[in-house]
Amino acid sequence: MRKVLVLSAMMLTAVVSMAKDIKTVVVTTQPQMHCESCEKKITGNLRFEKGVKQIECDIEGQRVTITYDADKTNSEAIIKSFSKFGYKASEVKTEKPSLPAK
Amino acid sequence: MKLILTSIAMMLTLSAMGQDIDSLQADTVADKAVDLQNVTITSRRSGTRRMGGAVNGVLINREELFKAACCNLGESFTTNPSVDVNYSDAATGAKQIKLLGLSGTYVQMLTENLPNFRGAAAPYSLDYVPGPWMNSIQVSKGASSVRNGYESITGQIDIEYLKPDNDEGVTVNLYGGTLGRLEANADANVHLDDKLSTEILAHYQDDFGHHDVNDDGFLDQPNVRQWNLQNRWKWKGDHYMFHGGFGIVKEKREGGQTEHTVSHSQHPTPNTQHLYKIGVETDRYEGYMKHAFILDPEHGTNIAVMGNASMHLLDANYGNKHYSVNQKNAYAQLLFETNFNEQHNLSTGLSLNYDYLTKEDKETTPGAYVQYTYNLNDKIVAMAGIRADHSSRYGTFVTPRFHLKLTPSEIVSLRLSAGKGYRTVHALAENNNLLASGRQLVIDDLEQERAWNYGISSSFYIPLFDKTLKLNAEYYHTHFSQQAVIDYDSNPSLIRITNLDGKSYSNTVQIDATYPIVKGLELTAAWRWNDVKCTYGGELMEKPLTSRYKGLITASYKTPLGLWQVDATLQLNGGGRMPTPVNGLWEDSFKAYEQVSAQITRWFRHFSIYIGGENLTGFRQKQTIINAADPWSSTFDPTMVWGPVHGAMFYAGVRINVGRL
Repeated sequence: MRKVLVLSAMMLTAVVSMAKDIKTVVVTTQPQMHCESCEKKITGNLRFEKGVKQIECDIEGQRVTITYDADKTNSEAIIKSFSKFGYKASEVKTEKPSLPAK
Repeated sequence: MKLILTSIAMMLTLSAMGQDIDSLQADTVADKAVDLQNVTITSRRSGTRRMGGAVNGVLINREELFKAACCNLGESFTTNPSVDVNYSDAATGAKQIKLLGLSGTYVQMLTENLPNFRGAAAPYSLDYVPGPWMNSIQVSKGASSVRNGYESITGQIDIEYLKPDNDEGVTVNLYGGTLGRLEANADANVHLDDKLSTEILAHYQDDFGHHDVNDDGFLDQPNVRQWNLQNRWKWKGDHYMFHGGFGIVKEKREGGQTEHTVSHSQHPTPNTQHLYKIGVETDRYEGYMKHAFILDPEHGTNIAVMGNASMHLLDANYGNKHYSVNQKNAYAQLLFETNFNEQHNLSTGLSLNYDYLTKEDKETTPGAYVQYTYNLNDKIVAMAGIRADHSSRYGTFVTPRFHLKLTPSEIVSLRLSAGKGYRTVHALAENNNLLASGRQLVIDDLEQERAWNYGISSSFYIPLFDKTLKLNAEYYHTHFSQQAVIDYDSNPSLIRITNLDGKSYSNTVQIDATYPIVKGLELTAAWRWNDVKCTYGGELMEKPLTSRYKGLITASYKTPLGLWQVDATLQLNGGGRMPTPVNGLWEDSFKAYEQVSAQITRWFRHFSIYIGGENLTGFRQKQTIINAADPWSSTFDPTMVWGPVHGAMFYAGVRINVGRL
């Protein structure tokens, strides 16, 4: 019984520690994205930013949607990181709800 | 060994289970993007892509090449079901590609759309293209376009190098392997202005250490030292484009017996004055240029003038046999292409090829071609081409080729092809590594090789559980009406290269399937049957040292942001026939064998590191050199190799990026 309790407590701790505050920010870029290579540059660099979980580029809609762990970073830091690879990002206020953490 | 395999399998499983967010694979850029109610769903790009035209071809891109260490071109096909790479020589390490079960000499080798690595360059050419220099490899099967000449019989392999106008920066690759191999590669490019850019590609490798794991007194692989350098330039204007460069390869390979290997072997030979040594020194110089004049961008009308030239100096010693050649080649081509409208395309041109090996072995071949392509909304693509060439040795000959692609729906496409190919044989230059055999090498007065190739292939893109199952099935038939046959069977004391007298054909059937099992994890499974027969001494026999089948399973997993990549490949190579045994020195056939390789890569912003292993089950061909105890006898033979010469090999490397974002 004791073992079961200890195990349950450990699992609960693990679950709590794994619960992440996942948020999304949508940005447009300057210069604009034109092709696969622009997309490659953006995704290829952003992926190394702390807390970034998912990157989606929509070249046609000129939007980059970044999903991040809000415990590790914030939207300002992500937007600022675009300057490291020659882009400027501006946040687009969207009505689209944030993706839930899976 | 089982522990390693189990660990890799567990890693693949755990990694696949561990992901929780759908993500774009950052370094494998999106290939397909489908807009669904303002949400962009992006799929991971595969490392290989089926080419869109009428020719059945696959593009192997850099993502695929990164799945293995890919030190050079010869090691780039580990994950490819269509191309086999064998050690063709245990003592010199000469490697050979096989396509459709036939020798690599029937595959036309191109670098950036220009024929390359001809004649004496053929036996070691797979080592002349360092893996980190390559941007992509295009493998076309069956009769190819007549645009590049008449020589491709089973297909074409076209290598695209990294480009001068890629993002500026420097990349350095360092590699080390447990079998005593060190390698350094670098590519650096700079944009001098908005039109002009240049690039340097550099490579150094040192295979060292005297390995004789099977205790036969011979090095299992030669010690090779190679320097390889290219400088490339590109000028890109609105109506004119220039692309040119030059390269130098210097290579020294030493194999055979050494005092060290002999003294430790099961056949100690105290007389070190008579060691059987192999030494091959190569100096290769090559240059190329392309000029493209864009006359009407709207109709894609352009004229291109392109050409390359090379000088290949080879000085080889195989025991007491010596072969030396100073081969010169020059090739020039004038092309005109235009789209009359969206449906009709015309391509036509002139070419001139010159090969000089010796006073007796030289050839000048001017030629002309015309090729018409009809494209009905990509549903029907028909390409018909014909060329006429005049050889100074063999006179005038005509090469017709036809391709048809039908795409009745997005799910299925069907390709048909038929075409003729020719090849002038420079037998001694192309097979100089056979001089390592104790048999006498006899070369008859050879005819020009002639063959027809027919193919049918179908591709299916089947939606299955919200993903796409890619299926491919194909059949190719090649038959020679004239061939330079390498005959080991008719006479036990000879290797005779003689004209075909009878039938020679190849039938291959291949099926392959690719499916993303879970997000980030892609599996490919393939199977190919080879039925390759040729007439030796009046008897139709299986082509020796050729596997009857090949099976392949590859698993490739990337974490959601592509920071980790794990790749594993299992190959099953079928058994086959050995050349007719002499005095019971070897078996009359060889059995099937497996090959397992795996690699793990971790990507960082400015560098990536990788570790991996090849031949992880450690399978080795037991007797890679026939009668190694008596290298000066006529039964000594290091050329009968069908499987891996050495056991498991582990490696590690780092790629460092400077300046490239």
